[in-house]
Amino acid sequence: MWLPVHYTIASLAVGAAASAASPKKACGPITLSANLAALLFNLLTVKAWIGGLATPVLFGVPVILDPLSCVALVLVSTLASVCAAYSVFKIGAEDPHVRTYYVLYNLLIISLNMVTMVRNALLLYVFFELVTFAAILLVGHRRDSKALEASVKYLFVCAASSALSLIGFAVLLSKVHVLDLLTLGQALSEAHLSPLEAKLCLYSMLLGFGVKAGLVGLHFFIPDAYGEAPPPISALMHITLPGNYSIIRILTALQPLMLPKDQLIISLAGILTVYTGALMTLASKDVKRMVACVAIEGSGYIILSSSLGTPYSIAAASLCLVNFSLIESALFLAVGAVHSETGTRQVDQLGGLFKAMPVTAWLFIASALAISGVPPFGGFTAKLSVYMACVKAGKMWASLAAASGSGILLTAVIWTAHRMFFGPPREVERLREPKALLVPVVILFLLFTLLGLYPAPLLRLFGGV
Amino acid sequence: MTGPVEAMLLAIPVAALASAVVKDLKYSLAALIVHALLCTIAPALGEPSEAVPALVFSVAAVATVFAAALRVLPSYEAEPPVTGSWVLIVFAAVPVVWASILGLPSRVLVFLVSAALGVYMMSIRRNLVKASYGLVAFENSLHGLLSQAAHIGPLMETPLSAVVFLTALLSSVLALMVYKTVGSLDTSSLRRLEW
Repeated sequence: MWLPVHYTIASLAVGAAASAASPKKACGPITLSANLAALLFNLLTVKAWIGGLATPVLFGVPVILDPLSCVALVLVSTLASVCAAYSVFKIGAEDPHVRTYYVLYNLLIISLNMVTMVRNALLLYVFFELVTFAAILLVGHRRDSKALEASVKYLFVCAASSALSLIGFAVLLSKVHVLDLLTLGQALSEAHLSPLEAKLCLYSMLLGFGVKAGLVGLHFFIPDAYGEAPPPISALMHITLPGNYSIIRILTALQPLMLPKDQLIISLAGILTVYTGALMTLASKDVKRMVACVAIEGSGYIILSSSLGTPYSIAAASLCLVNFSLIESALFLAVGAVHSETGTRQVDQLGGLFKAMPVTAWLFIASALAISGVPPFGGFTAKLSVYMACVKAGKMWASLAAASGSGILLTAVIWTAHRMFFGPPREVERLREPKALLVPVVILFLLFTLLGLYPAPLLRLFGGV
Repeated sequence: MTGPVEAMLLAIPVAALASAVVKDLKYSLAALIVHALLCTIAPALGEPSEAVPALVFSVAAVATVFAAALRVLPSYEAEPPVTGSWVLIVFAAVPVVWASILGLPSRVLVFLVSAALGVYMMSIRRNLVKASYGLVAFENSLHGLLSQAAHIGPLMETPLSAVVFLTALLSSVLALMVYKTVGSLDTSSLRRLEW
């Protein structure tokens, strides 16, 4: 018997097929309808989970339904629907590759749904790769030299790094013969891996899955890829969602392999990622690349929190996943709205936009403050929970270090917002508020503000942070 | 897998890669197709291999995709490598040294050398098709390593092989798009993104 989650995948597959076969004008509305249907079915899936459905099988693939995957499922469908609505206005019938865009969009969402549900670690890798392939083609959607350069970089860095995780799988399979994410931790704690095997497994997995989470050292392709992608794709595919979800899952499962020294190394990698993202944000001249760097900073928080390995810290990482996804998506879409009106993303060439685009300005500023951890938005709750997780794990220094990284980020985003919206005006008379493009941003703004003001339901779900 | 058939099966991809690195991709494609044929008949020769079905698929499919790409793309030999060929020896020697230190079996060593040559092609070759070939070789070698380490069954082998195949397909399509847009396959021409 088919469950609601079957219909999620089926509706998106129908959306992809219909987009390929229908007139160009219809592709956007079809994709939007398919994604709204997927959102409805995912909500029904969560309802079924609350009713006691735990580990169904989806087209032969066992899937997980737990607080993290249920929230991630709803998050994916919400963002997919919002970004599909944005795409309807941004990627119109006049675009020469409109059909390819919407077919790939639906395939991307199918893969993202599978990433958030799949129970087998090796299949997580496979769907992770499918997300990458769809994203690479979408990043190069414009087909000009810059977009293709970004696609090529994305392909080489992501595919090669992800393949490294196969070394970890080889060690896992030869030693514990278990790939089930729910029982892997238990199996590893009972297995006897040599120190070399444990390190090989842990670090190859971290590198393999960390690449799309923007782990420091592997982060350099992110501003290129998300800077050149169409705004809805940057908003949907930014590193927080698939990359950090996988990091939380994998690091939780591999906790038994982590010695205190490994935990320290991964925590430091998380903090370095925070600083790298914050400093890159400060140095960015292109506002869309700046938002990509903001996402790297957020990713550092999730890596730091996941590395601590306590139930509290995993819950804090999950809270960051939800809030940062919503906020960063809002930032990408707001920047897309600015770009569509002004025709430039260079901060130096923008200025005085507040007069012509006050709603866009307020939405951008609110999202920028939210991602920096300023109350009362969801970013504040998420970052505060990471600081508390660090303190509870006896790593006060880590919370101080991460907070100072956020301080740098706050300075960078305020400075950028000031130059864009309040700096010397540059021919703003002709500019108008792109109302249609702002509706999705307003929805995201309401969601992350709501999660900041009323975090209790989500906190209870993730374990009472 | 054990025995001379195994050595032959595993050595051919490395030979194909080395051929691609120093000479011409056409030779290496021919070697990969021979390898796929050998893998196909390996069970008849008494090879109780678990890695063979996946490798048959990925090797044959990868060779086909790159052969198709080469038909469309000219001047794939035009760009010289970033460094001299001596670096190739270093890349091949590193896994040999590691394997001897760690006492790894020879069948694992072949995959590691193949992966190292893949990394060499990705990082040193300026030609996009050759670099893509290196990427696929790297992925395929690690997949082979995984198949050697444990029996993962057809349910897992098939999607993993599909990932390698899709990487080959995607990298060829991207190379084609880059050639049409930029007019060159030289990766150094892809430096237009600014901070």
